[in-house]
Amino acid sequence: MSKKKKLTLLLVAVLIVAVTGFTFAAQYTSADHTKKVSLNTLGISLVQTADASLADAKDEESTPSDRAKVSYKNIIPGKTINEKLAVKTDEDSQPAYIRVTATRYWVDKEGKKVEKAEGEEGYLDPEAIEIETKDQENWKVINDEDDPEVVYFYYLLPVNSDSETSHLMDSFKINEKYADNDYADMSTRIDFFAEGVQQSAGKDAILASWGINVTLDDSGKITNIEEQ
Amino acid sequence: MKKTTKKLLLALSLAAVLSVGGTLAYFTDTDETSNMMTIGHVDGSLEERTNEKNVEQTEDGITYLDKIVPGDVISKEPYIVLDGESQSAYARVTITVDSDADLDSEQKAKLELVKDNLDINNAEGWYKGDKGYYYYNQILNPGDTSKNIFTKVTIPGAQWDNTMTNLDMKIKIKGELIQSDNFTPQLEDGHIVSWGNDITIKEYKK
Repeated sequence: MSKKKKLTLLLVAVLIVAVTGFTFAAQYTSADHTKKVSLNTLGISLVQTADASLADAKDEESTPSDRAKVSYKNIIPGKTINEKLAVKTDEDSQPAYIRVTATRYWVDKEGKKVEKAEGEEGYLDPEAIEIETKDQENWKVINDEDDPEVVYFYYLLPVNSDSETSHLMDSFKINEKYADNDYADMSTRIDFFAEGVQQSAGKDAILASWGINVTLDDSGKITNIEEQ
Repeated sequence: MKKTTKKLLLALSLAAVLSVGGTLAYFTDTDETSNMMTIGHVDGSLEERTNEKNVEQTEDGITYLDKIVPGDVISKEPYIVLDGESQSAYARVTITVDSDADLDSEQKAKLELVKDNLDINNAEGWYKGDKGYYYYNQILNPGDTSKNIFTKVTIPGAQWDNTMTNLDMKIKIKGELIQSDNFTPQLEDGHIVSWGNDITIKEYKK
């Protein structure tokens, strides 16, 4: 048999067998066996606990349970707001790694974001908004190098199903050195965006989802974080 | 193994690899929330009242229309009112006595006697502190009115002579407020005598 013919036969053979392979499977499963294939899921939610002594009101448009927005009024720079924030996994969730991105910024009396550049008149410093994280052992806090509004919180341990992280935020405040009339009647906003990614193949999953390289120890704890 | 079987196994492996390669993905989930905090402000006003009858009261203060002679005692009661929407605050004032006329040093010194004669209301919380300020010893809460800074102006008697005639005299009072939360003034003998050196006072713009 010539070489060319051999190749043709081979390709054809592969294709036929592939199709056949699928058909066999279909026939097999439609016979006497019904196999249930349950896909594991991954579910997380933010757990926000307002400072009850200072909270003004919940946003009427907020979703139920843990996604309520909270507001505070007539706060003086230096005053600590003891609002707590954590992340929990659903009951049937896969173990997951957690990252929360906090974006902090100023809003004027009309509710519009203040978009002045540093040095420009009317500039309000986002770094005046300070977030306290007590559990520095398990939360790695990284300020974005390029954007002073953005802060990343990485939980270093994988979180099992139906479990909750420690607080990534124990309190926040405006640094007292910003007690200046330029900030009077202005408002701060902190937007939190939590992301969970599967622990299994965690290093690759984190790289694919968050774009960062991590080092994991034998227990699965993140020991190093490196941006690409 | 027969050749035919080998090919079959290889083909099945290829098919399996093809199907698995098309569905690789990672499980992820997200959630979001936010909070908002509005900064307060400090605001108030300096006001005054008098028992004198022949006066004109404007936003700038009281103008006494009767001619004043040495030895006169004039009713004048300035005080501070903290705005109802303000944050609680400490208060202090400066007091200056001057004239629009071009005064020589002797006249200026005689005018300064008016300020020295003021009955600053120590009993009700006003004390002289650093840098010429008079400090109110109590925290003003929203809507509060302070006690009078003083109650009368005593024109010097024997110390004033004809060199002070026909002068228009102005008593200027400038008030300042500072948040009481997260701020500790300096005390001496239980009285506030200073707000420290790192304070920048700006007018609140509504």
